[in-house]
Amino acid sequence: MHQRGRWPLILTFLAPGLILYTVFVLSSFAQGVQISFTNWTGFTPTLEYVGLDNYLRLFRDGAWWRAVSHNAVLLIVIPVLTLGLAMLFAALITRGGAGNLRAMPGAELYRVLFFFPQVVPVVIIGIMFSYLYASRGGLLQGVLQMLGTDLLTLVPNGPLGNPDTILLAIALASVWSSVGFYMVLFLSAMGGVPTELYEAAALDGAGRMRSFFHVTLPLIWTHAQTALIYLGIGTLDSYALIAVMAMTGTAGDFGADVMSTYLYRTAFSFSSQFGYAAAMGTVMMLASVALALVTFRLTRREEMQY
Amino acid sequence: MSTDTSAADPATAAPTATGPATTGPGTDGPTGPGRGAGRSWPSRLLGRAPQLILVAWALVVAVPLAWILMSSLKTNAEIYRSPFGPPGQLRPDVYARAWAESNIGAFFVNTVVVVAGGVLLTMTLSAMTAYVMARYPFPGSRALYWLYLAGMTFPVFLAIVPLVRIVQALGLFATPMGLILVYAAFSLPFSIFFLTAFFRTLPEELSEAAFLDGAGHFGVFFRIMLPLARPGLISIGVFNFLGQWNQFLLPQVLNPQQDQERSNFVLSQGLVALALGENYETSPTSIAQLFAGLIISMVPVLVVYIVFQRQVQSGLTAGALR
Repeated sequence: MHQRGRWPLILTFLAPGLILYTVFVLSSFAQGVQISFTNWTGFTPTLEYVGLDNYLRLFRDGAWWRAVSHNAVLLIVIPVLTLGLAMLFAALITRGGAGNLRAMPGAELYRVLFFFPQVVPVVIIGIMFSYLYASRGGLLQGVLQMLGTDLLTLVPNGPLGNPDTILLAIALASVWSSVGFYMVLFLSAMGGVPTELYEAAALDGAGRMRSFFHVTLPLIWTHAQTALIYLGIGTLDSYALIAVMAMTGTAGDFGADVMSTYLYRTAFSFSSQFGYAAAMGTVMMLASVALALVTFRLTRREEMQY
Repeated sequence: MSTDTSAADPATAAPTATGPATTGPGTDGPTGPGRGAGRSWPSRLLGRAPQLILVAWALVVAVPLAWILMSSLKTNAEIYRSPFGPPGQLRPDVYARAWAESNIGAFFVNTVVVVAGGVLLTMTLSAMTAYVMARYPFPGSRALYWLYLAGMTFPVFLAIVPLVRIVQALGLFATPMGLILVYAAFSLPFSIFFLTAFFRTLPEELSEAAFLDGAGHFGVFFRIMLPLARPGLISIGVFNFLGQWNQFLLPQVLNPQQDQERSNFVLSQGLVALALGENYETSPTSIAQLFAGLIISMVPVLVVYIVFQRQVQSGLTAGALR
């Protein structure tokens, strides 16, 4: 490479991005950790340090643990349903994975249609599902009334007004939006499996089921793991869907608080307890890093050769 | 991609026309070649099960969207009477009223300004950074890599409290410029990693030849590398457009209501405010106006999705496999 005149280009090209990134992202992250050790409420120009007080308070805060438990529920329900359905649809479209040999009629159409919800803004999905679930004039209610029953007898107060069902109702909206995305991810992983393997399996008399479970699934397993972690981190940070769908909530804590919505209200709706909210943010960061480390461990695993 | 060969099958091309009851004979098109002939109907049904399941999910995806579109032409009373009934009359004026009365027009313009600025800035800065990281190894480039990786790993919630303080201190609170800069800053890490990988795949020979012809480092970037990187730039541009159009938390925190009409809101904020205010039923078509707002906000996304089909799917899945 040409050595003369490299540095002017390196400096002019790196500096603007790095300045923007440092001012808004890096310094925000650093200050987020710093503020978590203070009782700052935004009104004083200086920060007063209180040590680990915010973290100890968080540890004893019942509302926080409720929010964490809601995150935990979503962290199980959403990946299981989303990845399960995505894997099922991918297997059906490619007839067990041997897509090159026997692709389902209409495969391209399914692919385009199923993926679309992923690009619809989350706020729109939240509002749309709120109306699907509405007890008056909602689509779900209409279907149930055709079947001769009523939404309100099945779910008192409606899916979003009932503390027992609100989390599941929100999780279903999330599943609806991302199944197609993960299906496409699995489809492209399956596209990398050489067709000879399926031909060999077919010669050995394996049907679609068998070749899916014994050829496809083992070969794309690392992709499934990556998808799981990616979806897990996304679920951990999910905010917009819950903020939109739980805004008419039934109880003081909106019945579906997760870490992010509780943080938001602590900082911006209650009494601007910025220090306390920053401690929540720091804990969320630690959780994300823990999940990311798990990702690295899993992806560094030796990949199957084919 | 393995599924390109099968274009739309006429039988599945119109999944919304009939209900889930597509079990009738012959509605499903020919499935497995030579299979199922002369077999009993339960096993034939079982053979069709894959196609039936896929059609069912196609309905689950399409019906809610179609329902919103149809209901955007109905009055509140019509929606309450029956969710399935068609609108009593065609009411294109609902869209005009949503645009003007419900202020969707202002939200739309604000969103276009912020997202256009955000995407443009993201692409410019990330292309320059990625080019250096891909082609100009220098002492410290490893540290730079880790700095940007941190921004991709940490949740935005850690940054959200101090971010308000920083944006206020710079005098950018509740301004489009503030949102543009913050959107771009948070979009940088992924865009840089994506484009770095892309620049690495480009052949060295062309730039070598240009250097021999006496071109400078800047000239090679702007005249040779940038045009070559077009496919990668389009992918990352589409990715950022979708991501920034979708933003809700950042504007909610950095761009709060400034006046009665909420004239500074972006679409996501405006729609949520409309949905909350809907309980007051300000007009006989207030729900339809909200639904019209949802449709209007979806149109740019739909257009981009259709035009850039391939880039959308490859760009977004690259995000998961980063």
